[in-house]
Amino acid sequence: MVMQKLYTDPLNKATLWLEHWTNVIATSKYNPFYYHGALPQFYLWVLFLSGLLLFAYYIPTIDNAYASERLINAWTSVDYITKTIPFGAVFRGLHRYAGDAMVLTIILHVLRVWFTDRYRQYRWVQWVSGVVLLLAVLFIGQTGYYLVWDERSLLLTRMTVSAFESLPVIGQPLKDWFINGKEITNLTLSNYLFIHIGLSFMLLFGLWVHYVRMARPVLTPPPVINYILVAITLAVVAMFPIQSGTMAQLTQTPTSFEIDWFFLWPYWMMTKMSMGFFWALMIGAVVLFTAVPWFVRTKPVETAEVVLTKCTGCSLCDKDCPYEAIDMVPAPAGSRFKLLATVKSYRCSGCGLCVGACAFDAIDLPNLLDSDVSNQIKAAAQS
Amino acid sequence: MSARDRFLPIVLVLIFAAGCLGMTFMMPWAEFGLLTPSIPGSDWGKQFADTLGISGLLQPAIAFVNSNFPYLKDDVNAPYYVYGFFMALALISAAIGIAVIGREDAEEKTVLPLK
Amino acid sequence: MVETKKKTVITLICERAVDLDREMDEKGILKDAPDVTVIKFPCSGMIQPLMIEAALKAGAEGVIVCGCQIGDCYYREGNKMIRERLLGERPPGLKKTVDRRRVVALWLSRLQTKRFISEAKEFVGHLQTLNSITEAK
Ligand code: HEM
Ligand code: SF4
Ligand code: SF4
Repeated sequence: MVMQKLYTDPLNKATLWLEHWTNVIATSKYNPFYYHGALPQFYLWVLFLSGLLLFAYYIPTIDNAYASERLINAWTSVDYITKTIPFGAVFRGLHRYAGDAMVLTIILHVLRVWFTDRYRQYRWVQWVSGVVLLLAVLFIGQTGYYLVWDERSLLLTRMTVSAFESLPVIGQPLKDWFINGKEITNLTLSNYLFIHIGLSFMLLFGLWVHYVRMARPVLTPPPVINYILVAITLAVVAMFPIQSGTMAQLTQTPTSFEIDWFFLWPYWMMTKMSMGFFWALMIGAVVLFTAVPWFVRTKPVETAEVVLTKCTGCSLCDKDCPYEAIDMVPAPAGSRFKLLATVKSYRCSGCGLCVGACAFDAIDLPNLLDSDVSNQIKAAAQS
Repeated sequence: MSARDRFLPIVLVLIFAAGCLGMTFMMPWAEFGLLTPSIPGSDWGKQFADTLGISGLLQPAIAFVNSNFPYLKDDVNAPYYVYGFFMALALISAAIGIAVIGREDAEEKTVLPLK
Repeated sequence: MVETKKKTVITLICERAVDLDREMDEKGILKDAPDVTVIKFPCSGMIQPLMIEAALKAGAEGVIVCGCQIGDCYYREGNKMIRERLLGERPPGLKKTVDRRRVVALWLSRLQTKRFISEAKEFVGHLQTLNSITEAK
């Protein structure tokens, strides 16, 4: 039995234990594990709002020859945001640390769905779209580090360029797309800004795919949790203020940089191995991670079945199915009713919520029929 | 719930509500630069506090900031960071205060209402 | 003293909620509370109000509905659904004629076995007092 195996699995046990004690302290209403998907979603809104302020003042150029009085470029605009705008530094810090927090909460989300066996079979679409979302979030975060245009940005840009150049066939076009031309110019930074913001909005599309098979996804934690999420980020902003690096100079070759372990770890890896090995490792890891739902083989879900002669077309099962697996279709000619429920078996989890929703015993799980349940109940009541 | 069971939550809520209010009042003082005296800038906030006769009240907060944020000494943004920090404390007190009341809604047992 | 004949309390429970496997025999009867018989479902959301009515009609003393902690349904919302159905906030609900004092719902995680047993015993006691009141009338 899959479940017997699951309940002896140490990772599942540890998760249950952790969630149980969180319930004891915070109650189920405020248990952050029960809002695992809503936590990164909340940080995404924080990032959109704080990013809006930064976007209002950010100038995506590496130099500006026409402004002779004073150099105006990406670095000085970020410096202006940090030093001159009231609370600019706080918003900048919020934007940076909310990004880190989003990665952290995504990891928590992934571990929870993984360890509690909520990732396989009919949920593969969520898993695979989740992997794409995670990759997109990581890449967006990295482009954020290019935008600041300090020495680290320059070094990261050059490292990315050589990483792309090491790829066969697609390497050169990728590199040209990335720095928007043959070399680093003002257009490079406009491309970075476009990728950073454009991809952030693409996340919304990715999230739509992530959610499309779930009815009523839990998207907002209760205010108490939101307050604490914001508070933690604000406290970190004050305790570890962001230090801007020196402005990038194309003539110089910076060689070392501080690492943000949430986003910049691939660059750390590049320094430890050959480019070929780096790409092999990254691509291999992504493929393996994407394939996780297919590692465990179990017998397929026994999906719900509609009893055609009993269904009245009331749509209650359609409303309550948590995986959007039921469609109401026009009833066949000659029926007394207008609609008929049909189950899309590839989406069905076999949970039986539709059985609980149906007042006419018109939908059944093949391995636990309504009539079986009635017999069990009668036998128990009369024993 | 009996009056005795209610006593502790009420006391907790009051403590955290007071904490939240206190931290909220700290926020503007932080922004005026009152809690980060090493920061150059206008001292109208200081005069304001002197006029109100409450500069003494701020001493503990100033001591707290000086001992916990030494690295902000030369940072022009010190007042904003300290403001943010007190906002964080206010949010946490508010969250705990609300949770103390709100946790009563969490149910492990549902008794059906009689019709 | 009136002789009350022994009746059962039926527990309709999600197989992922509180762990009772070591607490019951093969027929689903709880060792510590032999009045209680357990019937498992893949999810508490599968429990129909009709089943509760059927159990009471068939002579059960009372019904305990049990799912996971609210917020933790493996199938996302099963326990919320049956909770709302019991409270009459989501169709289909319980019939008006169902004696609501004889139905109770518990939302307990896998580790809360002790809590379940004590709640079950308390419920059995509650049903006994209910019976003695109705018989006295
Ligand atoms: C941008 C980051 C992400 C956000 C905002 C997000 C958000 C969510 C939300 C809100 C849910 C619905 C939870 C519910 O209501 O039951 C969910 C479910 C899910 N997510 Fe994510 N997610 C993200 C990334 C990921 C990643 C990286 C993975 C895995 C690789 C993943 C795997 C899943 C799975 C398998 C489910 C289905 C859980 C279930 O059916 O109970 N997600 N996600
Ligand atoms: S709830 Fe039952 S009767 Fe209503 S549409 Fe679904 S299967 Fe048909
Ligand atoms: S068993 Fe019913 S409610 Fe559950 S996923 Fe399948 S169709 Fe939907």
